Amino acid sequence: MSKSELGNNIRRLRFAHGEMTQQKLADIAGVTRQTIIAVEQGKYTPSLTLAFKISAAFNLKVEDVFLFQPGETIPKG
Amino acid sequence: MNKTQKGAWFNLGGSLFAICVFSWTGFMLFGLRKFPNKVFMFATLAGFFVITGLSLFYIRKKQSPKEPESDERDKLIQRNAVIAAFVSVWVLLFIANISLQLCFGAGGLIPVWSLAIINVAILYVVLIVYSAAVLVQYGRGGPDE
Repeated sequence: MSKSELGNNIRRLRFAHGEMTQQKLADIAGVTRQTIIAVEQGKYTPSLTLAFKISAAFNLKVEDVFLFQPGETIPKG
Repeated sequence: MNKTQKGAWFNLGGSLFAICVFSWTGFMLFGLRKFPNKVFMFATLAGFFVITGLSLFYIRKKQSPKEPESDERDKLIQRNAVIAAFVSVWVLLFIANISLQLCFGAGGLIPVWSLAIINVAILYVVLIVYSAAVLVQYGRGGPDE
């Protein structure tokens, strides 16, 4: 799958939220850990629903977790 | 590695093994005009048992009780793989028809059983394309952090 133009702060936020594991975030969002890894690394652009679920896991707005970076391929965090 | 990836590895291994066995058998029967020897037959049988045994590899403990069987990314990957497989069917059918016409001419004749072999071969190649498409899209999963 191609790199996403959607950057994210998931990795930083996980560590800020008591070193939350990818598996725990996956359980909260209702997806597999592989999907969380792919989203975190910017290899997969999540659906709007999944983006909201991930943001809700951190009690943040979508725009605080995800950011649109046209032309950039490296995820933040 | 999830269920879909394991299935893809299994199909890939099984299909490649079957294609090798059938190709070699075909070469012996029609090329060398010899019946395959017992060693080859036992090796093939053992190979099929090994591949069947590998289906135990499907048994997978969930990493978490809440882990879903598949999610949106899995479905997208499977859909893309199905499209790749579907395209490959038409490409292979076209190649099969053109190559037969080139080999035997427009008015040439082929035995009826060879059609069944061509169909089975296309089926295996399509399975390989599907499995490869799944595996390529998944790439490598990183360690838990």
